Amino acid sequence: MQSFACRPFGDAAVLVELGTTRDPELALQASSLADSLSTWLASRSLDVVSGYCSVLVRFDPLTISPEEQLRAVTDALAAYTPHLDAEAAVGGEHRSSREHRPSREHNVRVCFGGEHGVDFERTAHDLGMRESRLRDMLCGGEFRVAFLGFLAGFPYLLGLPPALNGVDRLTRPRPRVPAGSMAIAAGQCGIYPRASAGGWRLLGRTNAVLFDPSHKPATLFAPFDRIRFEPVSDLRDASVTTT
Amino acid sequence: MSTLHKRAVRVVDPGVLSTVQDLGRHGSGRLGVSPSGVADWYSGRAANRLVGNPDSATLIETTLTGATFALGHDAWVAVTGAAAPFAVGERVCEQWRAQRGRAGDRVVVGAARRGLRSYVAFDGGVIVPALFDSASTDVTSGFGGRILARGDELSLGATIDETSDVRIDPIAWIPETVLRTVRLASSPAVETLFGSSYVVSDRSSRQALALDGEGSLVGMRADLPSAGVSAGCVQITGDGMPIVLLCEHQTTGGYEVAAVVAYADIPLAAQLRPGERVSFAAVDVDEAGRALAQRRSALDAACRSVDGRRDGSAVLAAGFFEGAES
Repeated sequence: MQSFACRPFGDAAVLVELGTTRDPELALQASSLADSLSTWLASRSLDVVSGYCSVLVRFDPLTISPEEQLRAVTDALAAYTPHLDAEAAVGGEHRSSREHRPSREHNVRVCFGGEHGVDFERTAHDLGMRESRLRDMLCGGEFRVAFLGFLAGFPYLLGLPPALNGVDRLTRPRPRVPAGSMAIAAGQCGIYPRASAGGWRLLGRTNAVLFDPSHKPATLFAPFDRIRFEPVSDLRDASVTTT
Repeated sequence: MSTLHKRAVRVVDPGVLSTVQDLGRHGSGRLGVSPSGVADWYSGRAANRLVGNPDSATLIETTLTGATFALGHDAWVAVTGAAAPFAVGERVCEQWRAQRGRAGDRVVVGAARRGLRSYVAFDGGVIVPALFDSASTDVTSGFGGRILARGDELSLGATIDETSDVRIDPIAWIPETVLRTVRLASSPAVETLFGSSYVVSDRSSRQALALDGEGSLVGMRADLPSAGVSAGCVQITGDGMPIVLLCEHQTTGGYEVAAVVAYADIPLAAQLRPGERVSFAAVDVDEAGRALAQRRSALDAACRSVDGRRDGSAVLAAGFFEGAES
C-alpha cells in the first residue's frame, strides 16, 4: 500500500501530497485520487481539488473539526487502491471516475502567431527555432489533461515537448488575455477559457467554448482527456472536434 | 396547507457593487469553478438567522457604499457586516437585529463607517436560479447569482412570518486588524510575515486581499506545481508580497502558501478596506478551533434550530410594484 503525506491545511482543509514535481504520472494519479476521495468522503467534505502532485480536501469547519477532517481523509486513503487506478490512468484505459464520462479525444484547431498568439514569434526566436518548427512541435504530439483549475474549464495539459520547457512566464502578467488563448510557461501548457489576466506566453488561439455553465457537462475537457493541436490559418476555423 | 406569498423587493440603488450570495458554490472545484459566496461567512449567516432563514438562504452582499431597496410586501429584514447606517421606512434601525418593514418601505443601508461589506437578508431569502447548486454571484467569472442593477426586482421565497427578537454580536472592530493564522511552512520568510504589518491595497477584490508593506518575503517560491487552495491562504506572490485569498479565489495556485488564516478570522479579512493595516498572529490548529467555537456560539445565540431550506418557490415579481408605492 502506497502511503501519502497528509496534513492539516489550516483548520478548514486537509492536503494530501503525492510528491513535489510536475511528473505526469503523479498528476494523473492525483486526479484519480481526487475522484476517489470525492466519492468516499461525499457530503462530509465541501470539495476536493487536485493539482499536479497533491489533492486538497476542503471542509466546513463549523460541522467537522480539524481532527475529524484529518481522520476522514486518512480513512478514505486507507481504502484507496493506488496501483490499479494509477496503472489504468497511465495506461490510458482509465475511466476518470464512476460518475464521470470516459476520457475523450479532442482535436483542437489553433490559429498560431500574429494577433492570435502575440508571443509566438518571440518565443520561437528565444528558443532559436523557426516558427514552423515550433508549430510542428506543438502539433506533433499528444497532450493529456491533468486537471482543471485556475479558471473554470482551464485545462492543465501534460505533454509539452521538453525542448519547450525553458520558456519562462512573462515578467509582468498581462491584464487581459483573450478567451481561447493557448499558452505555455515554465514547462506547462493550457488554454484560457475566458478573457482573464495571465502571465503565460500566448502562442495561438482557438474559438472553442471551454466552459459553459448552462451546458452539461459544463467543461469541454476533463482530466485524462487526450488533446492534439492542429494549425489553421483563420480563427473562424479554429474549432474543436471531440471523439 | 401553505400559502404562497407574492413577495419581492426592488433595487432602488445598488451602490458600487451589490451581489446575490449564499454560502458558496462547493463541489465543482475540479471543474475550476470558484467557491464564491459570501465573503464574510459570520455576517452572512447571522443576517439569515436573524430573519429566521436557514444559513444557506440567499441574501445580498453590498460593498462600501451600501444600497437601497424598496419592499413590495411586509417583510423582515436584517443588516449585518460593516458598521453602517440602516433605516427601514422613516425609522433609523439597529443592525444585527431583525426589523419589520412594511410594503412600500425603503430599506436603506448607508456607507460603511467601519468594514467593507454589509449583508442584507430578507425573510424567505432571495430567489435566483442556482448554478452548480448555488445562487452565488461569481463576479470575476461573470456567472451565477446576479450583480444588482437599479430597478431589478428580486423575488423572495415563502416565509413562515416567525422571527424572534434576538441580537447577534456584531463584529468587534479594532484599530489594527490581527488575523489569527496557522503557519504552514517554517522559514525566515514566514517569520517575516508574522513579524510585519501590512496595508491593504486597492488591488483587493472578492478574490483576494492584496497587501503592501515593508515585510517582503524573499526566498519564497513562486513557481511551485499548481495545487488546490482555499479561502484564507496566505500566498506569497512573485514580488514577495503576501495576498490573502477570499471567497472568490481561483481553485488552484502556484505560489507558495506560507500560512492559512483561521476560519474564525476570515470574516475580519473580508471586511478590510484599502488603506487599513493588518498583521498576522501565529496560532495552531487547536487555537483556531477554539476561536471558531466562540464565533459559533455567538451565532447560536440567535438560533432556534433552523434546519433545512424552506421551500422557496419562485414567484415572478414583474410589475408587482405598481401600487405598492405611490
